[in-house]
Amino acid sequence: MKNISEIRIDAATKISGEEKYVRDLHIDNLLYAKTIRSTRAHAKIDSINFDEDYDWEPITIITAKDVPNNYVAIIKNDMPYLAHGTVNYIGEPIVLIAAEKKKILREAEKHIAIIYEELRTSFTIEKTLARNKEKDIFADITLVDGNFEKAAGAAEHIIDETYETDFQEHVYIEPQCVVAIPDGHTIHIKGSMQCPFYVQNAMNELFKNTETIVDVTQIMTGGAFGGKEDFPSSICGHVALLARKAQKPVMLSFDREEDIRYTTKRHPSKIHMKAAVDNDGSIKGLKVDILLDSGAYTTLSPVVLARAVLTSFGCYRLSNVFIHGSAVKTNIPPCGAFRGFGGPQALFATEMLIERIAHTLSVPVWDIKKRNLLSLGDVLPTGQPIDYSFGLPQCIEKVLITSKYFEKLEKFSDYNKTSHNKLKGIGVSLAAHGAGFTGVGENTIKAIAEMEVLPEGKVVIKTANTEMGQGVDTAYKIIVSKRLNIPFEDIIIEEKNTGKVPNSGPTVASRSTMVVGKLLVDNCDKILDTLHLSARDHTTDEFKQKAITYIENNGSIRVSTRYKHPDFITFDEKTYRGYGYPVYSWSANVAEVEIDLTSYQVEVKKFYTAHDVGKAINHQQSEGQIQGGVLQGIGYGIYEEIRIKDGEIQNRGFRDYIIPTIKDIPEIFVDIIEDEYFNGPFGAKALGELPLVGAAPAVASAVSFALKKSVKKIPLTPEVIATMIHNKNYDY
Amino acid sequence: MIINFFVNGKKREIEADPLDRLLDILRDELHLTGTKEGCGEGECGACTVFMNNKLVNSCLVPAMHLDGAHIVTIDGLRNFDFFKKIQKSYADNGAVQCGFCTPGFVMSTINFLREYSNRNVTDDEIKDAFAGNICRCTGFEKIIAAIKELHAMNLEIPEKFYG
Amino acid sequence: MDKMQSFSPKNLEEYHTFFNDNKEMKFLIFAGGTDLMIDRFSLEDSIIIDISHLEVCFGIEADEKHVTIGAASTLNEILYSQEVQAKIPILVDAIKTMASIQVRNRATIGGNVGNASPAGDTITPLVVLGASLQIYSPEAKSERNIPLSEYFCGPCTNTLENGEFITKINIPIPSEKMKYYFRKVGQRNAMTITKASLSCLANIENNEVLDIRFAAGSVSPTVQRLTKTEDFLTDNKITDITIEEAKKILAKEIHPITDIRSTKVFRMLLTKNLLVDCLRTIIY
Repeated sequence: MKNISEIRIDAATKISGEEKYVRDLHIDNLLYAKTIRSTRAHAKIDSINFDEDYDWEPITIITAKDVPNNYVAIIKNDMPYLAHGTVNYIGEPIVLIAAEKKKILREAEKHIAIIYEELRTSFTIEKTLARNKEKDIFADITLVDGNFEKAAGAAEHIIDETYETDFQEHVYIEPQCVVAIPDGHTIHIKGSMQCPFYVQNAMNELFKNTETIVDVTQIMTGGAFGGKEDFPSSICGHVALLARKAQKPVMLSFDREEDIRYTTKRHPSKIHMKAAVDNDGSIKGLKVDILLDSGAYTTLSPVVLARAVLTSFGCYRLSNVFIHGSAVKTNIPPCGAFRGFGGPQALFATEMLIERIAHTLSVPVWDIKKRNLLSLGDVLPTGQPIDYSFGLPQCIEKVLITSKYFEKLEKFSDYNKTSHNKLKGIGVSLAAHGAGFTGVGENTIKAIAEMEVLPEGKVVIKTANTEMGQGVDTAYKIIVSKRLNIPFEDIIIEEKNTGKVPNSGPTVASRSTMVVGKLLVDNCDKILDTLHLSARDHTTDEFKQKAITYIENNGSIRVSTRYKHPDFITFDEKTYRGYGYPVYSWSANVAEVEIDLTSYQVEVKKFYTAHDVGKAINHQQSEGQIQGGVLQGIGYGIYEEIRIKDGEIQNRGFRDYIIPTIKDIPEIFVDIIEDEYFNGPFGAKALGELPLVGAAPAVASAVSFALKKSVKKIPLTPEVIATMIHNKNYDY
Repeated sequence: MIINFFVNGKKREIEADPLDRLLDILRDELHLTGTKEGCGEGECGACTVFMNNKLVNSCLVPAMHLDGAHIVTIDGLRNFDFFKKIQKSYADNGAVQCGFCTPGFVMSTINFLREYSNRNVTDDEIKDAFAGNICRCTGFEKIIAAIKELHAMNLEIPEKFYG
Repeated sequence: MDKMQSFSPKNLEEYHTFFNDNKEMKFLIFAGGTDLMIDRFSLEDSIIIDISHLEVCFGIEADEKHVTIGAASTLNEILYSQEVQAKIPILVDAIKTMASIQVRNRATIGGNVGNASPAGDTITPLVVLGASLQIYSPEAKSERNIPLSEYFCGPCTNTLENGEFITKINIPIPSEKMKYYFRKVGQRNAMTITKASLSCLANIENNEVLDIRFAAGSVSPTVQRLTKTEDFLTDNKITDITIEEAKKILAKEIHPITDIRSTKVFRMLLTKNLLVDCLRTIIY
């Protein structure tokens, strides 16, 4: 079989600027929409007043009373499309307006006055918890294995520390943008989004018991990272409502300031860890208490919390664990999905705890990691055995050798003894990311992928999985090309429209290749079976001929496969026992940093990473994903901060939400390890999120080394570094 | 106000308010959608175009500065021979993921190659040339690989693209 | 933007006439617009005066004693000017740290100075260079020259009358013996707004300070010369002891605040560190 090109199928049009994103679509009679938002963090809406002397005729208006079923269907349905009676965060949508020109909307906004009656607010997890109200806890999980208290009683050391992580904003370069096009009773929604069927479901609920029918199409998406997973449902509802009333197409596109201030963010966390440790560094028991700040509504917090809980054991063999987590309400914009999804928060805490243990026992960090490291055959605290697809040892070996970690430990230590201008640090992290949905979530989704063979012998792939830069369209073509031995030109990817493709599940949780890609392999095998080519030793021409002949004689070839976990994958959501994830992907990461002692800036100079992804379907793009995810994780670790004052996000845009530029990048060295997963396409498992998960902990480990103090919070801004060095608070 | 200016070599007359942005004129009035809006603050570089042969952020250029100006956008460059080489190098090196920043990067690449072809260049000089283009997907590494490959080709990039 | 009024005078005569007819309006001077365009919707109650056609605002000229830069000169024009590179390298160092190629092709030195933001990165070099500004008054129909220090009166506020604007910036050329230092610290390496910065010009001989000038950015309502620190160091040697003392004096001369970019205490610490870094660098 000849080599398959790894060049992205959409590269040429993206490079030339011909690729169309939602804002680029040419739509006749288009109206623009604007959201009128709450200026209070928690208040009753006394009245919404439209200036009687203003000409409202050119403007379409929607308020809560115009919304047929006013809740955004996500998990708990507690978030309205438009606030009705009460607002719960600054920025919450109250009124929607649409008009032909944006300047009309800017003027109109000045003629809408909202009168509020302020209510008590809470902007911190602590304040909310002190009120002790059940409805303020969006999710609560406990996982127990063995007896922590007993282990703590017998241990030689108790290490006790609280770790903090901040918000993170996705900063996809294409801001949120959706459009609704009315067509009689039908509304066609097109948008920048990850999950057309999430939106479809939300629209079905929104327009339940009305005549309105909606279909949803994902348009080429300029980056998402989780920020276009749950959030688009609310803005799609907004444009649908406006379009329905105006009977004209309506587009809502955010400018960067609106996007930063009012869309979902990564949940900030406070994670309290308590480890029972013996003198030799072995961890005898672990108690974890995870608090996630969820913002004003539930959105996806229960699932983010679930992943945080299940990532908190890191890559270590632990027993006697007591893990508890809560997702807590505060009066700030709701948090949501973001690459890693609870994993980055938890893994940071776990890896920093290891650093702290090492410092306490005055031994190198690697000793503690090694002593407690998972091995093949070990069992996780959930009872899940790790007995297949465990490439972590190869990742570790690769990265320690490539980075010359041990040699540099000594070299940097010597350097720091005499340096005045800067300190050097080298750090290491080990990360795990559970592939796909938590537990048996896939059995609930029942993802379906379809394929069709056309009369001319070409093959159509039909899934709902969306291209947002990660290369899924190209990956699917590679999978089908390989399995059927047909060229790219003979493979067509169906438009991601909910009327044309089956629900193969959302493009999240690093599942698109592993789960849906596997369904495509199965579909390919069904096609080959139909054509009596199951031996897979045919030529491209033979395939084509057989396909054409078959269809001439028999009509069409349409195949469909529905996903179900292998039977042994079970999980109890109450006790948290079983397979948290069907398989894990693993990484080992080494970061080299320099800390400037004049400016306290941390710069990552080199980053080495080895990822076990089962199988890299597209090696070059996999590398690219890893490089991008690592840099995003470095941003999380060093640069990115959301500043909130009295419940209002202060950041306005790129000028004050700082992400790494080309001048901030380290040299990134990537190795890909392939310990195949039996149930993934060609052995592939998760890739999308893992690169981000291990990055900040590796950087924090390097900073801990340089400052001889373990890091307790990220981001490691200059103010935080100055605080750590001088033992005096220079931070906010 | 009435503005007469040149876009990709073609003479255009438009009516605009003094502070209307060049970006919006290009995209909404002239339907040249290759240039993108990422931030509206001149930080991300997705809206990069040539104005009078100099690289600028079109989100910050007001209509009142356009009279007589020569604007060149990616839409007007994609048929040049050198562009095809840039396209191939970016694609071959895996330098594209979501693609939204890519047109801006390509514009900066053209400017960079015009200045640095047939000259040695350091890594720092490369990075300085692209400080105004932000990518969130790729981690920049493969973009830099493409740029280095293109630089080594010593491409002939014209001093002026149109007239 | 129906209410938006703008005027692009082709010469000063035209501007003077226009001003007389509209002097009760609020005039907003617009050069490159890289700052103003971001918040353009908040400009609606002003008349925008576009100075991009006024010849008097352009050009970079040098004689033996001065370099004169038109206020509408873009940052890149200044950066690539051989005169500026040869004679005022501290300004080149500062501009190199600013924004990006795309922004520097439009942003002007007149705008950066005119904005009077304490974070404007061209300002501290211009202050230590002893620059002065040529101001055009449409009321008086003439230009006058004022020292840069007389232009600022508060964060983002200046002492000019309505309708007045900077036409040129006059920079005395520092002697070749002078050492120079510019460093700014932000959150990251590029495209970063300053947390604190320091400019310095000094004449040092055998570790002894004959003449020294400092200005710090982003740590006071306006950028001023740090005269007390300068006085202390003048005629003194640069030693560990004098550096420590200079830091203490500096701390009394700056008044940093806490805002979205940094905290008061960190800015104080940072500026002191920059002073140390500066003094340790310029002795070589």
